[in-house]
Amino acid sequence: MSDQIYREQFMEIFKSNANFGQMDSPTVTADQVNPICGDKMTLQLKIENNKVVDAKFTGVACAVSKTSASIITDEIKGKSLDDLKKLTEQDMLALIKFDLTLSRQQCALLCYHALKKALENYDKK
Amino acid sequence: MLDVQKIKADFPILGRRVNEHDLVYLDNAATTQKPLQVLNAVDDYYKTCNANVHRGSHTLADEATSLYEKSRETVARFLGAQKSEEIIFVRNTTEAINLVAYAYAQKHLQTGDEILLGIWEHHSNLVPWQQVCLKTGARLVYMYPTKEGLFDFNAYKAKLNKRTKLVAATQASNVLGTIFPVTEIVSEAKKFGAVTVIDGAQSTPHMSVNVKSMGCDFFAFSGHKMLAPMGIGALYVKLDMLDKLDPFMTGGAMILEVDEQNATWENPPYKFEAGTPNVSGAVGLARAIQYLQEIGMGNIRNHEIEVTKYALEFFNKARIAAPALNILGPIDPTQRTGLISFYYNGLHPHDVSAILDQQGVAIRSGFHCAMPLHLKLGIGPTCRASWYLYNDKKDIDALMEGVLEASRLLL
Repeated sequence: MSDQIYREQFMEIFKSNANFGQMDSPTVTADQVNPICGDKMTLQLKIENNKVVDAKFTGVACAVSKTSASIITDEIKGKSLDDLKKLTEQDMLALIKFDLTLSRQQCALLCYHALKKALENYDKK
Repeated sequence: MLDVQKIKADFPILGRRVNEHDLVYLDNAATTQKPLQVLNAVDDYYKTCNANVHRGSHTLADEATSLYEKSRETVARFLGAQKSEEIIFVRNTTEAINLVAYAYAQKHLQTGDEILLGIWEHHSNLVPWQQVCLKTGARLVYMYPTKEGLFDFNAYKAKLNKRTKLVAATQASNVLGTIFPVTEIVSEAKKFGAVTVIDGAQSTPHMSVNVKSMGCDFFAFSGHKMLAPMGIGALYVKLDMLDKLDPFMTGGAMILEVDEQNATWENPPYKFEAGTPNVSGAVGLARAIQYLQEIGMGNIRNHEIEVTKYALEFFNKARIAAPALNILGPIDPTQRTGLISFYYNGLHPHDVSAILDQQGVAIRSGFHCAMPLHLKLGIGPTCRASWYLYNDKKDIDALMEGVLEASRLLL
């Protein structure tokens, strides 16, 4: 159950605001809306030699969305685009680790869906 | 005073545990829990006399029809309608208002006409009117609340004119909690010949309603917000309006005769009840009404005012310590129903409701199907706690503890 969220480890990442903010001249940008609550996240990636070298996010979102986005953006730095395209929702939830109810899983996956969109946008370039 | 402990004992679900805490259910504006009396009435119906109504000539069909029509009479008396044929059974308030939009408004409105409504309307009393406008060329004209969240009567009078063909007004806001002066709203609208549609979803469960003294043309409510099962509600249509409505849906049960190319309609209310109706739901609704009336709508209202007063006192105190905490709606508990919407600057309502849920307290967070109101107020989603006859000050204490815990954790 949701009993395990908002504990020490989660709060530490949440309050760190890791990767929250904007970067100068990103290679690609994507917006993603959570259809359940209308929260919106913007993800920016800097891509060099088919690798993500930097990732940042902004948006009005809940603590679960923001904390998960910090974890996900940390994880994808240095990864090749081919590897990132293989990532599934389950991989992301396993990475985030927090015990989430079904509705909160959508919050946690907001950044992942933005990532999918960003990779599609990059391919279309 | 209500005997809340005795009432609570009628609701099996209120005895359950959530996240290792006793459940504190404060999401009654979304839906209410059901007492044993209602659950048993539905159960008995299926165990003893289930059959399709208004057709078949066997004993069960007769008994089911009689129960269904008695339920209609119960609803008619509860709302103060003149006749039971003024009551059309529907699934919920949304369906009731769509019925008016499709069966009446699309037929009678045209380009240049105006529909006057509040920015605080629930989407169910707003989106159907947008659709009517798209199809007829009429336009929506909005009323805005005063700073205190009250009805601005002068602004309303200024916006009424001979182009106003329909006034859609909620009797109580599901976000602000404000109780609106619908009788006065209706009588002003009548001066311009405008038809009135009252959304009673948030008022009917909590106070005495009388459609006759209100004078409205249409009045809609949902059963599930007043102890009845989901999937049953009613639309009141004033007697002299009934013949101005086309059928909403067509098919079985609503016809007199059908040949290869044409059909003729049954008399109201059957003309508006196509297909097999929700008989068990209607039986459950009638039992819920009986349950509420035995306690007394006036007693329920007074109880809710007491609980609201207690909750408002907490929020007002908490705001001194935490200025980031804001509440919506009037400060006077007698001008509102039993709910309070609130938000913290810098704190997402989903996180607040999740922290409350960890303590067994169920509240709602989001836009509460009233996005235009939130946009107008310039705020994001909010938290909403809403109580009913089975909630007491102890439940509010649990709410307060959770709200303070959320601010300690996240701010």
